[in-house]
Amino acid sequence: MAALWDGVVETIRQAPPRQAVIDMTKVSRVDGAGLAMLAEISRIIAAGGGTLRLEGAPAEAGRIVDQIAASALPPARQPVGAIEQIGCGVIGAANHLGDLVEFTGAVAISSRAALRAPGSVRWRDVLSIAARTGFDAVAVTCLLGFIIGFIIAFQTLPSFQTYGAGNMVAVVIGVAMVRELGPLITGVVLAGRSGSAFAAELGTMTVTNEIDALRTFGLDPVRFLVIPRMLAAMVTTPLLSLFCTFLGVLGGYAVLAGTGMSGAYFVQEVQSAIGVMDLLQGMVKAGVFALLVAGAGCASGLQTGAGPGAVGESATRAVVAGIVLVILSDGVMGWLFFLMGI
Amino acid sequence: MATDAIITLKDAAVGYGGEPVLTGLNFSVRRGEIFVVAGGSGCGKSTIMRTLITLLPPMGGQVMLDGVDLARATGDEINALRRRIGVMYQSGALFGGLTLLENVRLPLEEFTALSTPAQTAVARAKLAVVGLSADAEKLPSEVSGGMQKRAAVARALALDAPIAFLDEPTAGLDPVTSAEFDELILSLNSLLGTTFVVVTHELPSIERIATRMVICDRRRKTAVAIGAPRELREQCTDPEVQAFLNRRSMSGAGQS
Ligand SMILES: Nc1ncnc2c1ncn2[C@@H]1O[C@H](COP(=O)(O)OP(=O)(O)OP(=O)(O)O)[C@@H](O)[C@H]1O
Ligand SMILES: [Mg+2]
Repeated sequence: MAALWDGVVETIRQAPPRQAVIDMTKVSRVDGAGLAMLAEISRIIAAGGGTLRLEGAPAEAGRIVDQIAASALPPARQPVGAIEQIGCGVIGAANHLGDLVEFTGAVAISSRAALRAPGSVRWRDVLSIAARTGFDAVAVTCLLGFIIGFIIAFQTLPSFQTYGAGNMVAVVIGVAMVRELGPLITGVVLAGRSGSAFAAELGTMTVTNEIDALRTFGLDPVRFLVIPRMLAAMVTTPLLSLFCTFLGVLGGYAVLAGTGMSGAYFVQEVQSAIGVMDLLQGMVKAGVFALLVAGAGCASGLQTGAGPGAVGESATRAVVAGIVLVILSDGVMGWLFFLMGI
Repeated sequence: MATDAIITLKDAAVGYGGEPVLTGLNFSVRRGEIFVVAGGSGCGKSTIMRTLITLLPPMGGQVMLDGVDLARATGDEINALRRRIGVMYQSGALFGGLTLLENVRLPLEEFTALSTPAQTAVARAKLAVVGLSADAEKLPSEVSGGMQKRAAVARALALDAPIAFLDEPTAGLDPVTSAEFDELILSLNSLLGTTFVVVTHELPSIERIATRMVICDRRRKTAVAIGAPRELREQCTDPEVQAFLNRRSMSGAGQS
């Protein structure tokens, strides 16, 4: 078929005849590709001002060929040049930014309304989302915290021991976990678990018109879906971060216990390095991470486009944005806390 | 006659992001009628509906809904309008996390001062009307596609809105259920005086319910006929309208 197509169609294309007759009397059956070839031949001949006649073919075959030949092909999409691509990218990014500003504004308005009338918040939803995003994440966050605490202690111990300061590892673990790693690990887990889940939930709702349905009921999707998710995340994340921190310190002790350090001594060392303010600082960080991750997840979900891949894309975007936001804001907050002398 | 129009389109264009799907639309829907929007697949019926239910701004011309110009309306006006319309989406768009009963009750919770038991009673009554009393406690994913559609209609009618928009309510339903559905629309229309705008291309259904109809065409990107179905069949000479109303394919119509 391929050989026939290339041979016959190309021959005709090079020298289109004015009158052509194809003898079909001996043809008993023709498949779709055959019809397409006849249509292509007919189109080429017609373009050259000639006509094609199918002799001995049933009337339907002639009609289908005519119909295929007559159907105008849509103009092929122009391949996009590099400059155009950059232009489209810039416009896309600008639109995205505009959407983001609009989303942030909507969240701000809804938050103010929620503060003024706490009764209008859907607390039942907050509770069920908090259970889902918080409780189910306890195990994985604790596990990661423990492992990372263990690894840091394990890796730093030899260096400190060289200087005969093995017990300093307790201080390192305390400071690192409480001020930095506890909240950070929790934030990243949150982005991977809840950020993507929020984006997928809201994205699916966008695709199936559920968001539209809410709007036509006069129900604001931000008040109805976004605020409960943000609140739930902000309640659970600082707690998760606390667990993570505790397990991380415990992981560090697991290593130090091997060197013969007593639990009481370890606790005393850790306490000498960190206080309530440090603990509070970690909780504040976790709260901010929750706000950003939940916001990015919901925003990404509400911006879901059309098509079967759209929800997946939104979820991916939510995770990437969530992790980037967590790390960026961690840096900014670290700097602010430093300036404030905490 | 013009005074009792509840929806009026004057030279209106509808479409997405600068890309018009239909242009030059001129028709009105009268208060209390059942108005059918028909036309081939992909011709823009759902797009007209999205415009009329205020989710898509009109791209040109004038679209008046219950006395409000949709192109100029303020946010508050749009919100007020939305409480006066009931919508059933082509995809059903039931809230997946809520049972059928909760889906129907949600608009009542938000917009009425009824007590919770009263809301539940009203929601149950709406579900009974569409024949879903036994399935009230099921989630949308636990019922069939046709049942989801019926639940979506029940939700659209929950607030007794004066205008109801239904996008292909009977597509995919068996002929008997489909006929029952049409009966339901007719009785709600005569009982409550609800104005219905129904998107459908099911001819039997159009014949049963339509007071008047508009037929859109994908190739010409506009409405090709407006009027009562019988009138159109008997008087309209447009070949595409005839082909549509007599269930012929266009190539078949060209041959005979
Ligand atoms: N969100 C969108 N963005 C851009 N174009 C769209 C969008 N939705 C639909 N379209 C285009 O608008 C046109 C009309 O679509 P619409 O959904 O209104 O058709 P329809 O008449 O409802 O068809 P059907 O009977 O199959 O439901 C189609 O060509 C489609 O490609
Ligand atoms: Mg449609």
